[in-house]
Amino acid sequence: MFGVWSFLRQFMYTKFVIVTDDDVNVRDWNDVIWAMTTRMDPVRDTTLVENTPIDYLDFASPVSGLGGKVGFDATNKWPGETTREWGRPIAMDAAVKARIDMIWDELGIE
Amino acid sequence: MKYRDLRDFLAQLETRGLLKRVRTEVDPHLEITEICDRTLRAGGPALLFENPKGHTVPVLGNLFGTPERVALGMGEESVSALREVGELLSQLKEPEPPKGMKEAWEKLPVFRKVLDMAPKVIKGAACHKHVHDGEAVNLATLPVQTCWPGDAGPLITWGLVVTRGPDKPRQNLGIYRMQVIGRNRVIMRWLAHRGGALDFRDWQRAHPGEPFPVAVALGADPATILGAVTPVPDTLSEYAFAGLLRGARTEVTQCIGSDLQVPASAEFVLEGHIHADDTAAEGPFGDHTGYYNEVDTFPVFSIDRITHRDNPIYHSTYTGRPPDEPAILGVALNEVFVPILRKQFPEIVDFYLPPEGCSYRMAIVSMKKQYAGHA
Repeated sequence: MFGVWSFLRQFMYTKFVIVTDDDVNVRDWNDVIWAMTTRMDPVRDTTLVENTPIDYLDFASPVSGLGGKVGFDATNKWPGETTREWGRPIAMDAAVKARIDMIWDELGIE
Repeated sequence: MKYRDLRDFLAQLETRGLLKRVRTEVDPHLEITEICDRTLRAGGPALLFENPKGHTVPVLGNLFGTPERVALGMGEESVSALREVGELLSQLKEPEPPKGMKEAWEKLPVFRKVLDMAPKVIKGAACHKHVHDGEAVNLATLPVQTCWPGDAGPLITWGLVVTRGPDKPRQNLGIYRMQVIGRNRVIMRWLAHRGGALDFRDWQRAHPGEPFPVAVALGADPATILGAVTPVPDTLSEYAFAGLLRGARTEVTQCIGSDLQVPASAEFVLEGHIHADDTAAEGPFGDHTGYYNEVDTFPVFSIDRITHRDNPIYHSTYTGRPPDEPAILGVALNEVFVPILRKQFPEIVDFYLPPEGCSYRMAIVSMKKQYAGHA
């Protein structure tokens, strides 16, 4: 998230950054909310930064041109980041999916 | 619209095009999950699998796969009408009236309605048409789904578990998943704070070492099923709440081997006991968060008897990455919950628990803000 904030001047005003693993479609809010609510502890995985440059058009910042930023780490946590057994995502067998693809029209559901 | 039993509900759903029969042979091992998952994500119909592989009993899946079907099951025509159910519940959440006030309270129509809703006990119930006792009990005759590739085994998912604590006249109805581990044995996965677990704990204190009677109904009428998933006030029995939804008393029948009562029109009933110190390691199973959960120890339910209707239907579901059927139930119950919340906080306009946030891990609230710091 600091990479995003520091990489280009244009990203200096991006006040919310959410980082996920590559199994999450970041263009789908449903996926993003799922990652945040299953892979984040709100206290451990939130980074708050004060007094950073903010767009002067952003009237929500405490003073014009200066305000906070938040980064959400919604990635899976590794040993070192957590001591707990971590969840394994459910996935259906590829062979079952292929068979259902094959018989789908015959099922007459749609 | 009110429904006599599950079959009546299915027939009316079929008339509306909200139930499809699948005649192709499909496997309760994984395939039914994949078909139901795709159908639910497309907002599709309830599914009656008439030819589950290796079985003669049909499987009902995706019954409450849209909020619309949940509303229909609660006797309402639309999802927005579910707020009326919430209004009713918010009135019922008032504390119990003192004795002297009883008459005054009874004049309130909602309390009179509740008093009229004690379940009706009937004899010769349809669910007792066929009885398999002792050695004849065989869970392998039920088309129990194995939901996900990493699951520990077949899982009974839509069982309405009936229990009664030693000091409580009221029976508790709860839905707990049950891993099948033998011809007549399943693991009862109730979390410590749930009604069934509390009843069992109280029983063990009052009757140390004695077997605890349990009954499980599969495939009841929709009001009874939905009564079991709605958070009703502790003082109200789920059977009475189902009666309110239906506008008619819940018909129950006495179990053959205990004093528990089960819905008379249930497709299947499992009767038995939990024996002291009989526990087993449960799981892993895929759950509603979209992950497999850890193995943990829970009591084993030994089934003494299976009874069923003529040509019974096995009612099933799966839990998985949202949205799954419980997530859809959550969306519908959200509507029921809003009026209850607004009774406590009138400034709240709307309240939403997004299903993709596992239905309870994230809440979004809109309000009419009235002072600084109000939010």
